[in-house]
Amino acid sequence: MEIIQRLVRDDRQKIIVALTLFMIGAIGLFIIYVSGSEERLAVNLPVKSIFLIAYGIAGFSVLRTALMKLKRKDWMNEYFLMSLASLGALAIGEWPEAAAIMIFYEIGEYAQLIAINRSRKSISDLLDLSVDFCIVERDGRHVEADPRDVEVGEIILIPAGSRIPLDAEIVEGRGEIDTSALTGESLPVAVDVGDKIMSGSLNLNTVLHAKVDATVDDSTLYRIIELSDEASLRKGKTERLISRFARYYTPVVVVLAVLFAVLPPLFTGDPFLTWFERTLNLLVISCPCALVLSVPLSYFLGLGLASTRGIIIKGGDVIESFAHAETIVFDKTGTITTGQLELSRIESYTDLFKEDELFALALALEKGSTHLIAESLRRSAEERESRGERVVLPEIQGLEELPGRGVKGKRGDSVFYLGNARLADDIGLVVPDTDESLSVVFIAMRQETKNASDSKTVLLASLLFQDEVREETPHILQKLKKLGVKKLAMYSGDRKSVVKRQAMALGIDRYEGELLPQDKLRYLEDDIAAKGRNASVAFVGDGINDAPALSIADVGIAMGAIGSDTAVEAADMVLMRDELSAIPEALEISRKTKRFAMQNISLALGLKIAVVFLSLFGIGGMWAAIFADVGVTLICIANSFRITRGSKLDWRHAGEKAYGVYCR
Amino acid sequence: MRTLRLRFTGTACAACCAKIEDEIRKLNGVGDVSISVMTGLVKIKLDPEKKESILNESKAIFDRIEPSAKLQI
Repeated sequence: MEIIQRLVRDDRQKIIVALTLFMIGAIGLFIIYVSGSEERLAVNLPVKSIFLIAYGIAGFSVLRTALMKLKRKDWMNEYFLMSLASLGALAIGEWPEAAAIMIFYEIGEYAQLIAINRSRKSISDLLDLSVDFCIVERDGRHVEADPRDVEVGEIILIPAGSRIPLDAEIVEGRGEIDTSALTGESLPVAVDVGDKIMSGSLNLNTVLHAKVDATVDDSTLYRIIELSDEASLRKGKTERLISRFARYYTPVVVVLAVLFAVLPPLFTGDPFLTWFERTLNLLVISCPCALVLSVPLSYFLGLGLASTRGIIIKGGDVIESFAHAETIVFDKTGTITTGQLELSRIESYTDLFKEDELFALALALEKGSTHLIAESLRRSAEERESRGERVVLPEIQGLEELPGRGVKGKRGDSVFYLGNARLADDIGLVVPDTDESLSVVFIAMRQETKNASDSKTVLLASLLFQDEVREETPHILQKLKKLGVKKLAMYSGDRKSVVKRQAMALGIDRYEGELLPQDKLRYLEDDIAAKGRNASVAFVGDGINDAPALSIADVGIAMGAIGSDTAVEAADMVLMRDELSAIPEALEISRKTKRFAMQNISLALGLKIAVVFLSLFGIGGMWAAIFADVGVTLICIANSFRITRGSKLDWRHAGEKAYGVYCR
Repeated sequence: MRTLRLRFTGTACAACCAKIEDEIRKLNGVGDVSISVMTGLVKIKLDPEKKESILNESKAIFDRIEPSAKLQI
């Protein structure tokens, strides 16, 4: 009894045993046929009962479930219909067919289970980069601790060759890390004191000491895992359509089956038995499972494939939408350009301050700001100090940010401004022409006097920055065009002359400069309003202050912004690697995934419809229906797995590639 | 409305998951629900006051539609 119970519970064993019995039975039938002893019951019955046993083993759980559901008056389900089809076959003496229906149904179900488990495992293995212990510096000693118990600000020691347990900033040591598991970037990245390192990366060759930036729950790795879990819950139109379709599929097949059984014999006078057999064929294909599974399976693999390339897509809906991208809008800085502004020179207009004083003043005004200008100035300051120059910051009070314009602050009775052309306009200054290929901010000073109308604003200097176009940009934009993206646009807060020059050189269709954040939004809204049916508009930003644009675009893409909560929340796609090439790659993955899902749908539907018609004309019979049903499941699954071909997720390379690199 | 994440095991039937999703969505106090057959995740937006009954009914729906599937609460 126990053996039988185990047999029925273990899908694989059940299938193997039933299939073996089926083969033995088939050989038996063949021998009977060859020896011409079809009429001898003594030989015939034992052989046929082998099929009956196979039927019982394979079909027990289906029959039981069908009965359970029937008790609740639920008969519109595939368990009941499969039971009906196979019992019908038994009733008309087709025992081998009855056994085959159940065996192949179970094979189909089992294949689906394997497909789900395999794809789940290959993706979770890729993301299973968590480290169970780390070395922390406490009271001057190094102790082992669970990363979950480590607090922000503690110093951890990361030995060479081990995985980085928590997001941290290097305080001692320099070396190389391998971020490929997170970013898909296979080249090692050089890191030095002050650099941030992400959990999940591999420290390659030296010991690093680093200050912890985030707890386990806030770490990059955990976020990625959470995002990819969440992605499976966001469904695209196709997936929703197919599951709605599945709801009607079974009833429609049942109605067809009833019509098949009743109508033709009435009109043509064919024997009922002929049409009863054809009816059973329809019941055999009454399970829509292959059809319904193939879409989420394809999308899941597509999302997984993207994540191996450092592209985190937040759901199947995003894949569908991005596959039809018609317009891609770039926020220039940090996407088209590197976003690493470089101070090329300071043009002074007065004798009031020397160059180094102007620099220090600018730095003091931008103190505490996260703006790119501020970052550039800080880098520049480090450089100056490393050359032995001293940067002495003047004391500035009442620092105030002027959004979209710049900053202002006070020193004694002087008010200082640092900002763009818009700010100059506001305070009534005319800025002299400067090199048009460079971005510019200026510094001005207003002397407060007793009589307000006497106070005069003096333009002190222009700071000229270079925002370099990424080396890869021209090539990538061309590629996007080749992929069929109709319109490329670039909206920027940078000065018009710079935007124009860069856009012309890159062949960008539409560009606007000197925009405030709300202007960029307005232009983006216009693009969205102008798009074609079923087309989408994508917005690419660096994740700094562009959350509104990321969320209103059909597909908001944040580049290298996993660290920013608001960007991750607002975006539909987060690029872990700071490379523009991830965008055409994401486009290709989205299209490929969509294409395979559609292939599966048409294949599954086509085959099922074919069976209906063949049965109608009495061609093929039950065997054709059985093989069409399980065949389509297997083909759809195999087809879905082709999405990951050649990637880290490819199961054929699973041993060496996906797992080999990640053993700890 | 609060969002709740649960896990389930024991089924590879995508059509059943879609059916279960439909049934849970109809429950009183459920804002939205999404079930993934691929990851075995269930995400329910629900009225916190009715949490207990929604969870029990969801469990029953799983049992009824796909007896082999188990919702973990």
